[in-house]
Amino acid sequence: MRIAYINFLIEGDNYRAGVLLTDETTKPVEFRITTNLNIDQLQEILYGESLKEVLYKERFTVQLLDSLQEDYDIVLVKEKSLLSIRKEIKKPVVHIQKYEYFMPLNRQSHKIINLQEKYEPLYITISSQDENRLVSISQQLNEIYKNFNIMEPFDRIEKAIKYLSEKGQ
Amino acid sequence: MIDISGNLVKDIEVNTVSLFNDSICGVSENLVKPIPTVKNIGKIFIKKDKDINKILNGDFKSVKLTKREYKNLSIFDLIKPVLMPSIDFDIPQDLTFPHRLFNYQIQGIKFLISNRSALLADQMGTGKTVMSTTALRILFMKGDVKKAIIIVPSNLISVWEEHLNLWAPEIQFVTIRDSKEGRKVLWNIDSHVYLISYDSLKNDYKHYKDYLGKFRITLDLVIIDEAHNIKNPSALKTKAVKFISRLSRYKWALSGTPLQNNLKELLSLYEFLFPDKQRKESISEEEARELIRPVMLRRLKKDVLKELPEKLPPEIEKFDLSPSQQLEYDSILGREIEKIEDIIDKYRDEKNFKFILKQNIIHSIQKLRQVCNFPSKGFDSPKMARLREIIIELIKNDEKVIVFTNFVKYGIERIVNNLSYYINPDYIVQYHGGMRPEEKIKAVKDFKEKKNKYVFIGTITSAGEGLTLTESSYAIFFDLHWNPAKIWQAEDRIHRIGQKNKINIYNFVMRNTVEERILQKLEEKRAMIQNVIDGIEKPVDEMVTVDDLMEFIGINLKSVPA
Repeated sequence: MRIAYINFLIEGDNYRAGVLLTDETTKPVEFRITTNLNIDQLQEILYGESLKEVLYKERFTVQLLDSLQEDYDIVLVKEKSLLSIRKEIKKPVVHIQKYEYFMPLNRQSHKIINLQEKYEPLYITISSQDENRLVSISQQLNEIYKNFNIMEPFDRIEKAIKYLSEKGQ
Repeated sequence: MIDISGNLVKDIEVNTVSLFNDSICGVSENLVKPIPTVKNIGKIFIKKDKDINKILNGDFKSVKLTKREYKNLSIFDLIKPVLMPSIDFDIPQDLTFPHRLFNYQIQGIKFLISNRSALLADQMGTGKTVMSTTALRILFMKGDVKKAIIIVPSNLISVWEEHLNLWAPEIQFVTIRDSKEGRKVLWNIDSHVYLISYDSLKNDYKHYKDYLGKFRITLDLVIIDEAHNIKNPSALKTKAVKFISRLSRYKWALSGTPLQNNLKELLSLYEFLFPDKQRKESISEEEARELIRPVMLRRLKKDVLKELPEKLPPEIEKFDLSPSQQLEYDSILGREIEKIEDIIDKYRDEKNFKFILKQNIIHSIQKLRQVCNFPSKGFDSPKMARLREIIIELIKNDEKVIVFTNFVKYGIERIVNNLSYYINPDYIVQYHGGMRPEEKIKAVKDFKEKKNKYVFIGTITSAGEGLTLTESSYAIFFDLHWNPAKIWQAEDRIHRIGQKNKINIYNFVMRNTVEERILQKLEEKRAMIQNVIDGIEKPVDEMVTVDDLMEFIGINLKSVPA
């Protein structure tokens, strides 16, 4: 299973996003990032809470996914609002977060666990149109999670963006 | 009469103050700046910005031509380590490492990662280079380290290059081993790891201190191998190491020698590890040892023996010829090539031409190999200096060592002569074909039974099948045989005769000489040699063709008839 991870980094006024495509051992296959997008304070005030949605959903994510040349099976995101990009792409979008005991397990959400308890339990949610694929996606992620921390590639994107910013790229 | 007041609610007067003009009220333009659409026309990060080889070879008129090819890096090469999955010792290791890591090595790696200042003082042959290369790789992958320098004795450069290639494939390294002008360029190129010898660093500290000053600002990790090289605090190379490592967050020293009772040496190491810590003006040796002890890890080979594999791969150390050796080597090479070409011209139509040619080439190769060991007028050389260093270190560790050479005059005699100045001559036993059988038996018996017989020096050809030297777990091949098959067989024999101890084998090779070419051939023919050992292929002597021999000394093969 090839996973396209999406993550963002805000450093001061600069917003930047990256997509990291990994194989089933979480080894990198393709990586792309946006250039720095500078948002001034006035824009921040005026866009308010909708800023992240505009940036992440309308600007960065779809464009990043479109730019990938390698094929992928699912998109893994940490921002729940990104589930709605499903309409614009042909692949399932999976929101992933840390599992809390009160979280419901239903037709759109499952728990992912590492049997050796090496990594903490996770909770995935998919959009309604992929409901029938939830079991299969969850099984595949559970399989990967046996040996590899599926949350860790999000950190890699942040580190890589920081690295490039420090290099003046 | 009751009156009703007028409307007390005053109309609110609106005074419009324009932000833009005092006289009129205006409306601003739309202050909502549209957020631009992202287009897929970004920079290509796999593009290589500059061709370092071109810079070194021509663009800079002052830069001397260099034979080495440097890898041009893209931004993608540089960010690759942070995009890789982090290393987890709990998952099956074959996914991450080229060979299985032993438990004591994993402990060593964890020790390095968790100590900003660390002294890894495991005994020789336990894999300090593997441990530190892996620890470095993990820190790069975590993004904790972005730039590192490894400072090593020049003969260990090739060992480190091999380890970095094998154990840290995502890490890009550049070996700063070029002309003075070339090195100036190399200090400025992008890389993860910079590999340099103590001597080159010392020279650059002398000439390009300002470059090193800029370079060190962004340095995160410094590894110094054979850390006793900085034992003398007033030596220029010690100053250079301390200067470049001053701001680095991680400082690791590697040494196989236990901490010596030498105050100066201890303090110099302490200053490298903790440049910011104030220490007492007067300090005893014991106090100095105590300061270092918390950041030191030392394991002995005998303690980890069970974990080691049956057969350890030989370690190849490469050296440069000394100036006097180089002069002599070049002159002999010129003469010998001329001689061989004459023979080809004179005997090419003879029936036994190939035999004559082969004998003569072997003779030429022998002469060149002798110079690789020692110059004709002298008994010191780069190989000898390293051998001495290893032997002294092993004696300090109370370990015995076997040294094999193919030569008596240019091998055993000079080695013994040289060593006798530095260690007690009684520590040495010799073993070669010129000795009487009873002398040979006594030499082996002494080495096996006497505690103070630390060094066994013999010729590999006379060290027959009956020789068992299980007392030592270190064997050094001072020179290589011209026939790769024989080297391989000899290594195999060492493993068999020392089975109990799991022997570390070290091969000494001179760079850019016949020895290095023999070594290349060894790699090429390894598979074939295996078949010979298994009795499938041709006899060993037929393994090396005349063409191979010609190649060793660099004669054009086309000139010889088939």
